[in-house]
Amino acid sequence: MSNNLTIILVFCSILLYGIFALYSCAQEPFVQGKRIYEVNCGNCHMSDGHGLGDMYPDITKSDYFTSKKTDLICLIRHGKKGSVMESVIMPANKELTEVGINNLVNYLNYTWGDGSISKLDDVKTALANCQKD
Amino acid sequence: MIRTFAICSIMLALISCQQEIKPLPYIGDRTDIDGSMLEHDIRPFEFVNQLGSTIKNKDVDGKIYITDFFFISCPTICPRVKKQMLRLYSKVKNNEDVILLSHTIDPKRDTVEAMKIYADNLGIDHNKWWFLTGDKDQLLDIADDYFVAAYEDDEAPGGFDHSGKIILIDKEGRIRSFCDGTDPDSVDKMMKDIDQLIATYE
Ligand code: HEC
Repeated sequence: MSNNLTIILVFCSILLYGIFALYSCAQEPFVQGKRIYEVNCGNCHMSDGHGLGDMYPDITKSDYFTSKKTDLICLIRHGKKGSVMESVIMPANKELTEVGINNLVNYLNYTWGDGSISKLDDVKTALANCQKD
Repeated sequence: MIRTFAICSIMLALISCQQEIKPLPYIGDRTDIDGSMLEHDIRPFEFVNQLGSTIKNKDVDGKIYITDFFFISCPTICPRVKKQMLRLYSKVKNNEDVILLSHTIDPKRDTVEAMKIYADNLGIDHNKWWFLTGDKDQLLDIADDYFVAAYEDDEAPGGFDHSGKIILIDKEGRIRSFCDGTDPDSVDKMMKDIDQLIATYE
């Protein structure tokens, strides 16, 4: 009887300790990027990246995070006209700093892309060469 | 061993102990008309939906409806609220007594045609969820009746300021619940209120 109780108690403690350890250690990388995403992107593409119907695209499998990374930087800075309707656009983000864009791109690549790390110089080069329409 | 289980079950029972379900409140001030108190209700309106049909109070009479205010070009919270409206839509899709109404506050750009395209791209049933446009003053005024802040503001992103509230109205046109459409947890609570409201008519 008391033996069983001890086993249960020990088991519970290990479990609790495990949960606690998980919470305190598993701090997400790219917290700044995530914050920028929530403020500047999440309203349309949603926190989980799945977008809204056919109106705001699901970006979780977007090739902007794999093969079109340079385009991604220009897309974030300059936005894009919508193809579904005129009043639904991807807005420009003139106020984001280069560091901010870099943090955002890293968060996006980590969350939905190939996990590659973007450097500030990549952002600067890409921005200098964006095609403006 | 048995004792451990007994203690555990008692504790679980205590945690999950159900609160007594209170009836949904009537939201808004009552008015005294010739001695009888009337609940706050929605003023007469006349709008047009995405199919071009005129929609008046009598068209929602006898229906429970869920409503919000938005505008298509809104760069801020509207899409998040619409995502939650979609969740509510999925929940009530097969219940004939419940419909959804989304009012635009930017009727100049959100014409019947624009609303139709918008609704098509959400993939919803046009007879179940109406997207209403019409006279701007009427649209902004009726927002007051639903206790939604909505007004033109050149400083606000997109030119309008408004709240992301979702409102639940009963079959008699009285407001029974509202939630924050940008917060999925708040919408979860609204789902329970919808079930409760439906149950009162059964
Ligand atoms: C106001 C709504 C809105 C906001 C805010 C927004 N987007 Fe978009 N986004 C769109 C729309 C609409 C499109 C589709 C444009 C089109 O029709 O091609 C789009 C397209 C995209 C695409 C391309 C998807 C693909 O695979 O074709 C990516 C990537 C993207 N957005 C990322 C972002 C990021 C990152 C942010 C934040 C900096 C952001 N978006 C903010 C509306 C928005």
